[in-house]
Amino acid sequence: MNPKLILAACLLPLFPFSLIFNAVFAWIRPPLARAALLLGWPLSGLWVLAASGITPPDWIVPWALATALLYALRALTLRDAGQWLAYLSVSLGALLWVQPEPALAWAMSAPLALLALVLGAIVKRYGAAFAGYPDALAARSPRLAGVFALAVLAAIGTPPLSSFFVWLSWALTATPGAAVVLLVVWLLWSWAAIRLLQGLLVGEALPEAARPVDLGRAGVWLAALALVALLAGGLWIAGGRI
Amino acid sequence: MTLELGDSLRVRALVYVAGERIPFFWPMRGFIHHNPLHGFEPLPFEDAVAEGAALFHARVFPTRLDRQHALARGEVDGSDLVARITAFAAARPPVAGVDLARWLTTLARDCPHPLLPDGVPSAAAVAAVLAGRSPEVAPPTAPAQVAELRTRFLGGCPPLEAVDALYGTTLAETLDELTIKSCLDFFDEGQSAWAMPGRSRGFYYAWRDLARRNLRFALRGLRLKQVLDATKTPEAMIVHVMRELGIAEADWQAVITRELARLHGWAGFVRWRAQAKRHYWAQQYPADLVDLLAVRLALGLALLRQHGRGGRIPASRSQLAAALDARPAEFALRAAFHAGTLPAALAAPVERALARGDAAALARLDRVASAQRQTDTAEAAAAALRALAVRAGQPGALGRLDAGALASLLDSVAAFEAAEGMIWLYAAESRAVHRLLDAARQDDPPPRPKRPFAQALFCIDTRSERIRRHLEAAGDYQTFGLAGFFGVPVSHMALGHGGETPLCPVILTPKNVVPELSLAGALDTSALSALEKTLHELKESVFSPFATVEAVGLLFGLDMIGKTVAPRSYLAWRRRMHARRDPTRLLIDKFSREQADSIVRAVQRALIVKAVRREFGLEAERVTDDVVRELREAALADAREAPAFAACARLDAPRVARFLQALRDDYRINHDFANAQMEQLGRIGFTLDEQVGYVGQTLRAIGLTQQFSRFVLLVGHGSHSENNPYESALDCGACGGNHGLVSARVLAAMANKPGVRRRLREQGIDIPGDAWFVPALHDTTRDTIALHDLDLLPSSHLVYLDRLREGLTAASRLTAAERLPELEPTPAVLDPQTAAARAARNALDWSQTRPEWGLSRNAWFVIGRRQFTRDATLDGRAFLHSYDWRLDPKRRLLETILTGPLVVGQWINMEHYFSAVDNERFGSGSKVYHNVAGRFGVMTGNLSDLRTGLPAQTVLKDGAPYHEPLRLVAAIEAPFEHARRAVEGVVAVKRLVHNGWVRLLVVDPETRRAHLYEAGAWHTLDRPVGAPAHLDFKESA
Repeated sequence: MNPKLILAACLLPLFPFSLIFNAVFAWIRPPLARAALLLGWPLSGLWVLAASGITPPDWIVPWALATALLYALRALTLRDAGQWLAYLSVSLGALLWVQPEPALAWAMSAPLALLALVLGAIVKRYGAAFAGYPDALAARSPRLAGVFALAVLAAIGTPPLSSFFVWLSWALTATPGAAVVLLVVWLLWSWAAIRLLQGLLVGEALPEAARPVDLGRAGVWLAALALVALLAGGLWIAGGRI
Repeated sequence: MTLELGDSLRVRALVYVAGERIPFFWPMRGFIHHNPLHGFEPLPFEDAVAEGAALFHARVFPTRLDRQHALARGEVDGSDLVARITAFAAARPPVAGVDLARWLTTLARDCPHPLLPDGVPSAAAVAAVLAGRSPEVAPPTAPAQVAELRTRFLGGCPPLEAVDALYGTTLAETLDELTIKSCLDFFDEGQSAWAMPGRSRGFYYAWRDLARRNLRFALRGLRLKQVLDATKTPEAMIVHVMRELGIAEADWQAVITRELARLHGWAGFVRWRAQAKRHYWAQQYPADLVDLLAVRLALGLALLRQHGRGGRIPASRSQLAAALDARPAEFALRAAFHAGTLPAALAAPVERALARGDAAALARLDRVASAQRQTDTAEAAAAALRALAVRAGQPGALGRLDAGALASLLDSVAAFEAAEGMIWLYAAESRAVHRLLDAARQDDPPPRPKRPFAQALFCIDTRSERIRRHLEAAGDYQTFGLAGFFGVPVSHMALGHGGETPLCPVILTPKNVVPELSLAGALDTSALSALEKTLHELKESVFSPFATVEAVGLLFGLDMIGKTVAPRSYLAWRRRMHARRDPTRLLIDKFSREQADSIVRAVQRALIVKAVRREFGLEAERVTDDVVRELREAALADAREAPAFAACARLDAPRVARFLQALRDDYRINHDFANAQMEQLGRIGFTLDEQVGYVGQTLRAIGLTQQFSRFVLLVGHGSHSENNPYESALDCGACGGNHGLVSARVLAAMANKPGVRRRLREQGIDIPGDAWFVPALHDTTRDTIALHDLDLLPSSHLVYLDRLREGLTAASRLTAAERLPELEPTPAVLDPQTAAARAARNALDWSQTRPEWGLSRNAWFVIGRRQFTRDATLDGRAFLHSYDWRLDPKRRLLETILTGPLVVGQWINMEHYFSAVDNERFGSGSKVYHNVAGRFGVMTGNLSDLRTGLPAQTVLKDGAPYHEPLRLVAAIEAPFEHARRAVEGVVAVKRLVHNGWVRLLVVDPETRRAHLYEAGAWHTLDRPVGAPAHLDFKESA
């Protein structure tokens, strides 16, 4: 196998090369660094692919779909939001093999980076972002909970945000069989997202439960701005590419 | 497996004892207010709520924050609170340099949350934190962990709950779901289109038959057949499961209690149903708690086996015990991890270590978690103590405490936080006692120069207080209060209904039946009613809804628009479309033996004529009376021949014999059935003696024995609301959760009878000839009073009717104007007419989740003359029972009031108390999510425990208690010794008072002193009645 292809398989992670990304992601803790990693890793993969001039072999798309499916299934039982994010990144990164274009990589990775920052804010306040730790985030820190919910929805491809149009673009590009697998992967990620939201947001906070300072207005406005940018990105993809 | 009789009885005894802790749940058609901790009433209140809290996992006192808000609103006696906290502090060891009373008072009044929510931390650790050092922490020891784990997860803990707590599964939740579905199948009372087969065999046997071939269970992977084949009877199944799970016999009682308490709504319903001998569905389809428990345990065992197949979770208690002993650190971490109590940062590492089964990592993480927990607790306690010291005005005091003093302080704070629920409760009740005494009067009413224009007897219900006050202010009206069944327990058979409805408090069983008869001819269903019935049947059947929606769905849409856009006009139009209801009469007189016999014979004759026509096509003209008599006598005499009939019908002897047998078997012309009919007829109506007794006792009980007005209104009450499964909760509790009109009609009919009046006159109650008892209904949602049976009113009274109606209308509107601002945001002063219109709209608005507050905020039960509370505005919070001790030298009447109305009042009060303090566990949560289940209860969502108690909309406002959680303050206006002896004479009430379930106050009109029972003794309050003052206690001898 071509070494450059192997490098691309590490950066647009295909199982088992995806273990490298997971290890690097687990090792890096600062939210900003994680956000940069989520943005840079797949873009690097696309750059390697473009620079090497390799045409991906036919068997790579089924492999990418299998990788995406594997991580989506595995995410259903995850409780650690950080690990959940890494798996989502792997799953989406692998799917870039279906349509390896930088614009799509940006549109797909930007919500992940936003989610990484939001998770960082949760970990900073509560010590973890793990289903049940904290629970009842909506009651304890309503603003943070709202931003977190929107960031998760943006990450999994909820219309009309940019990632939705990425999924749409992949589905329209893929063969019918691949499109079915794509839809199954999408469905699984939606399910996994609901479980994650349920684990962190829902519940009744005891009166004496810790209630750290909620996200400030500036943070909320920044998050809103980011979401608007994602929305605009989605519209651009829809208008310019589909 | 079969059981000896003794073993079966033992199982039944265990279930019976466990069931005693579960309150009854009555079908919601007649909502009965009850004490959710009724099974704990033999215990003192404080102990009972502690045990109830543990069993039902519920809160039993309002939060401190709620009490602080109540204090700010003036609902708690601040000085009493301080006095009680001071007394508490004085009983604790002193802490040098700390004004303990001040600190605890500050804690209660100024700190919104508990200071030590996670238990008492080590004083040394707290001292270290206060000194700015890192606390030294003690590592967990295996024996201590094993002991704690065994206490929590073995013993009385149901096995599935233990597995869930340790492995993060949801088996107990799944078991609840399966049990509820089984219950819904069996207990359905006509809601389902397809009924469960074999229900007449009883719950367990019907379920067992079905479960063995139920695909739903098979698809879930439950091998239920294996479990069910092991035994046949429910008792044997219980024993089998207990043994299979390895539960020691000593723990069976505790496990069974916990299993039943987990779905206490369903268990309470089954428990009630098992003893409701006259409940039709219980007669047809019997079930009891043993059945329910057997079903639950069988399902539980199958679930546990299913999940234990891979060996990942222990399938029996012995396996679990061995695992706990072998790996305490792992299980301590498991319990903390799944309970969400681990330090957050450790959650992910613990999950990974558990997944890998890495014993070394788990041991290390356990030490880290323990250390972190101890440090966090110590730091939180130190921070809270520092803040408390500053608030208490002794900021430097903590720095001067040695380790011993700090430990003593922490212990005192923890003890206070455990006891403060009762302290707050007493202080809030003290305020209620003050308010009542301040408003009360001790003088005798001035003599009336003439009789009042009208007298009105209202139910003691708290909602009557307002309208009574306004009616008295509106003119020359005198009002009385008594239990809304007017002292006559009847079983009512409404027109067009086959069943009986008991109209009396549930603690009584009515012996007499009162059927309702129409003055019109045979009932004819109107076309609209028939159409409505057809639509409902189409909607509820299995296949037709699909076509129905397409075909006539628009009709439902029109109905919806009408109810939403213009509810008053639309519903008035719909009412006009229905056939007008003709006047009815209640059959209150008993049949003589001859009359009853004649009725039975007439029914038998009619049946024989019908049978002859059906079997042989012989019309009435060919069947003479003699032939019918011959057939009847032959059937009853067990004969095989009827020559005249044989000749008339031209039948041979064997055919006649077969027909006679059919008459006996199919048409029930036999002695047994005739006797049963005679027995039923014997229950109808009252003898003259009974009628005289009931009327006399009722009038004497309220002190109305002279100066009868021209109109004596008997005002029952009921509510009207749309789309409200809880409508009957707003009806009359004294009438078994039904409207009180029938009871009023029954007593009015009795009291208007000349024969009854003649006998009463002989007893000294002289009801003049022009006094007429008029039944009426107080609609508590609309605040209206409607008069009934006016067609019976003597013509001499008609000229006064307008004045009466005007008085009632004025009282209604003023009541609405007083009540509406509490129900919805209104301008500062609401015009009475507008208020009445808004109240009327509430009753018709199908989106209204709170048509009225009902009995919320009930606080007092006053037994005394009206004069006692005449000047008091009690805001619809008092049960007012009229009583004149001067007419009751032997205390019989007072004992009757204590036995019935007071006990019902206490149930209502406790229902509101617990629904307000923990609406999710003791109440029924928000109405918005409710769905009717089986036509007898409601569930939250599509599947839940039956919701008992009151909905959030009845007791909470904006998420905080609207109902003020207090124990009922019962006040008796009577000489102290008179009242005390009456209370001591009624065992049930004595127990309630002595155990603190009711706060009893006696206001002595002779000495003009008030006496309060508290802490096991009577205390004379050192204050005059009727003037605001501070409350002091003096223990009496």
